[in-house]
Amino acid sequence: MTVSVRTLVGAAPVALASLATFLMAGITLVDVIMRNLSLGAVPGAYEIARFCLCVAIFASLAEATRRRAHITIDIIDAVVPAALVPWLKRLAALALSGFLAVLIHAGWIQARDAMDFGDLTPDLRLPLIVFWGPVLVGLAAAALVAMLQIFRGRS
Amino acid sequence: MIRFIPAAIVAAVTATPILADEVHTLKLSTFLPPSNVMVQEFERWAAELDTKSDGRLKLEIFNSAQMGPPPQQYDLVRTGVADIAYALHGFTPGRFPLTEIAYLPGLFDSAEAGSRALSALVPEYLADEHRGTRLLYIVAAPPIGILTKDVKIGTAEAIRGLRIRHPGSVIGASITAAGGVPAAVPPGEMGDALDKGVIDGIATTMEAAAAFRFADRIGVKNDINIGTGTFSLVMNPDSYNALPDDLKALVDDTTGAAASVRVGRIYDQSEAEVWAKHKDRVEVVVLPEAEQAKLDETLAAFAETMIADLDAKGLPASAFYQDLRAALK
Repeated sequence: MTVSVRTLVGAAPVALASLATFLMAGITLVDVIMRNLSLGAVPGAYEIARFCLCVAIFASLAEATRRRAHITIDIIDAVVPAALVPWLKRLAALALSGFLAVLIHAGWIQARDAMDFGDLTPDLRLPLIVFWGPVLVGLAAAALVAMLQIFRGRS
Repeated sequence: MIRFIPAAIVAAVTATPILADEVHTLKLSTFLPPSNVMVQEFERWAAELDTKSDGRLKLEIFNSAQMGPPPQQYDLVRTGVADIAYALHGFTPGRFPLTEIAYLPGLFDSAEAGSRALSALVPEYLADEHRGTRLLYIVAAPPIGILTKDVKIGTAEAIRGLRIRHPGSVIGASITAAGGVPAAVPPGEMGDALDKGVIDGIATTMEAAAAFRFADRIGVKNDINIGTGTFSLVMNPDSYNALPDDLKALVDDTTGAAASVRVGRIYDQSEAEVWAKHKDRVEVVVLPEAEQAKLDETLAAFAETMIADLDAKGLPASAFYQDLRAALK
């Protein structure tokens, strides 16, 4: 049961990111076809595509962190004793947590301003705060995973 | 005694008055490129401040969005990253709801008239919208048409389905009301987007087209007054308060309503100069009277709805609109 819940928790954001990527490609394709056939254009296609891109990136961030799928350059691993490598990975997870915490803080300020000032998107005039939701949730989830990695090492 | 020394240093530093002969350098941020008429105006203003303050007040100009992207210009000042910034209200839709009413189609005949009317309404309506900053002046750009490579808008219906880059979401919404599709392409990408066919046209002035280096690619000017852009020159309040009184007075004397009208005139003159350079090869398309009336009716209905929506939110939109129209007479 625990395994299936864990699988679901990992799979759901990936599925959401995949769906967002598919929607982004789909709306761009429809827009290009419509324009080529002189049928006009999809209203707000840019903004919808940008929102989908935002969801695709930030929904997959935590899972990418869990899989340690971030780009890594392991110059030091070959030089230091093998026993030290897991500790270096913990150190990297700590640095990632710190970096994500800075991003969350900066994002929170921007999101709060967008809310306070009633900022809207330029084409569809949607509340700008809708962009910040997936960004902050994705960053927070990735930070949580990175923090767990500090204590759990490779597992 | 040793304990006392740090305390004395702290007391001396914090108690130091603003030195009268200290040189104050203010960072001014703009997203506009160096060739833009406003960057030249800021350079002139910098020289004026330098001369009149005997070298004690200087401006360091960061153009071409060096300090931050166009939509961040206002926040750069509000958060103290820049001391002064020139911000286009249209880049932050929803933040200046009353000022955005000035973006409605057909309202201004010239930048000078628009700037004068807006400046008159700053104390009653617009100063509060610029919260977190000190508003030095507000400016309207010249009325804008729709510039294209070869697309001619000869009827009210011809705009339907065209993707048009706009300088603010109210103009974007006007384009939508007329049947077009608005696209918020960043200023620096306008020329490329037009070249690649990503957009069919750009709602902007010829002066902006020249500044962003795509005026040579414009073949048609669709002479529809689809609105205008408005800008504010804002200053960080702490940066202002840190100046000695005589330099504060110098900033006040060289900005305000008079400066706004003068800048509006500069915009009109620059637009005329750029147009003179390109008019021989750019075709002007004017809607026939009946078509213009049809388009005006559609756009007036949109304006009415927009103002009613703002009124419903508790904003004095109708009053502002009426006062703005009265100030233009």
